Amino acid sequence: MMDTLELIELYHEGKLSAEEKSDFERRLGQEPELRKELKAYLDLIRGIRRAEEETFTEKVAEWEKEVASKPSYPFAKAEPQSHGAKVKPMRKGWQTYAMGIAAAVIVLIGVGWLLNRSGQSVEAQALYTEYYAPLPDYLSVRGVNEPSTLEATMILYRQKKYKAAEEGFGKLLEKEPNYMLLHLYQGICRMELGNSEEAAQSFDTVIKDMGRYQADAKWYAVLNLLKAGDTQGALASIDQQLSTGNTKYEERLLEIRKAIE
Amino acid sequence: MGKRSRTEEQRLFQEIQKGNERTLHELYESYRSPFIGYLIKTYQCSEDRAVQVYQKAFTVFYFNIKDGKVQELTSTLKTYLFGIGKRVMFEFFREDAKSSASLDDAPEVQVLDLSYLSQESADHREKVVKTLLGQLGDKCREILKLYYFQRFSMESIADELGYKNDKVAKKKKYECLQKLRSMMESTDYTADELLNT
Repeated sequence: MMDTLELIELYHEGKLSAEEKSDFERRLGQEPELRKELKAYLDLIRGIRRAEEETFTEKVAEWEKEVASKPSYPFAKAEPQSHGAKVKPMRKGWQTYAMGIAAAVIVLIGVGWLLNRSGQSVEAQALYTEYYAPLPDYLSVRGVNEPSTLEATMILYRQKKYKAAEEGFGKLLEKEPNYMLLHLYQGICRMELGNSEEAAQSFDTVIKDMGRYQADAKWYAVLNLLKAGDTQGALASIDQQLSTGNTKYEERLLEIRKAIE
Repeated sequence: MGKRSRTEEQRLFQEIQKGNERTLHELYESYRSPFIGYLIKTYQCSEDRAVQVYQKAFTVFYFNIKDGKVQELTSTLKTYLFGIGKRVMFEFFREDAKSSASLDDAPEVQVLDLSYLSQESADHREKVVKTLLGQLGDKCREILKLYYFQRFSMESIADELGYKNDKVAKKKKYECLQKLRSMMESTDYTADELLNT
């Protein structure tokens, strides 16, 4: 004989014959216990589904956390790969290079302060190398109509053809001077090209706009200073940022600060 | 991520239907960046909001395919996901009442069902079931999940879980459902008490 739960399920899934269905519905009208069983069955099914839905939602949250912990991943919110590892102010190659410079300075000039200053510049550039990563491409969307100049410029940017990309962003900014993300990308191109003053102007524009990309612009402004060897300027900028708080780059800034000190 | 062939898209679609976790995980990662970039650019939203929308959209994307609300792909998986994303974004805009994005340019996508978004408050009995499921054995939980959530056929469940045939799997499934039913009936706890244990 068929179990009540099985009968209810067959009814729920529409697998009863017309006659069986009619009979079942007649019983439902007459038997409160059967109605109770039907309700319990529906609760069970919904409960199972809900539990699994929640499990999947939790899984998605885990994936998100995982992706966000990959520093190289676009829109990752976590710290760079150096995060958690001991920060080395200079890589081995730079150390060797710095020692060479220092030795030459001693021999040729013999002035202690100059040695210190030279070492500081090399250290700043090493920090730049350690922490710098180009801003991810926030603008290109395949399969969606894009203004061709923007798309072409972003391709150049992704290909690290910074000179051509910098010009492209310049042209785009002539039309849309208030598009801060373009200023930011242009600043990064300029920084890559070694035009630190122009890069600083671009970052400054974004910082003064006080919009969504302000923290990014401040971060790249620090890297720009480090690349130019201006350790003290970078330190001042870091302190200013840390004092105001609310920056997603906080840990990295602290690491750089510690390394400089 | 290059453009996939139709066959590859179809294969992925089937894997999603089956709830292949690895495939879902890979797709989640591969679509994330273009999706978030697209939202930020199109809606000028914050990155946090874009991530939030992506998580919701991806969940709806999976549930709709799993539940058979999309029987067949008429667009790419990515287009379908982006279409859902626009709708989810719109839901957020409505909630915020801060913006009124136009959806006129939303691509034609197949049946969308965002009912999951409003399932924020299930009644207590459903929550009790969830708690009891945690006390059920792994095998039982798995078979109930495959049948009621993944919507596998009994043949597929037999294959998946190594039962001799669909009849054996079906019998096992009823036993598990019955066990869960008994647990629910015999529990002396109130929903609140149970949830607080």
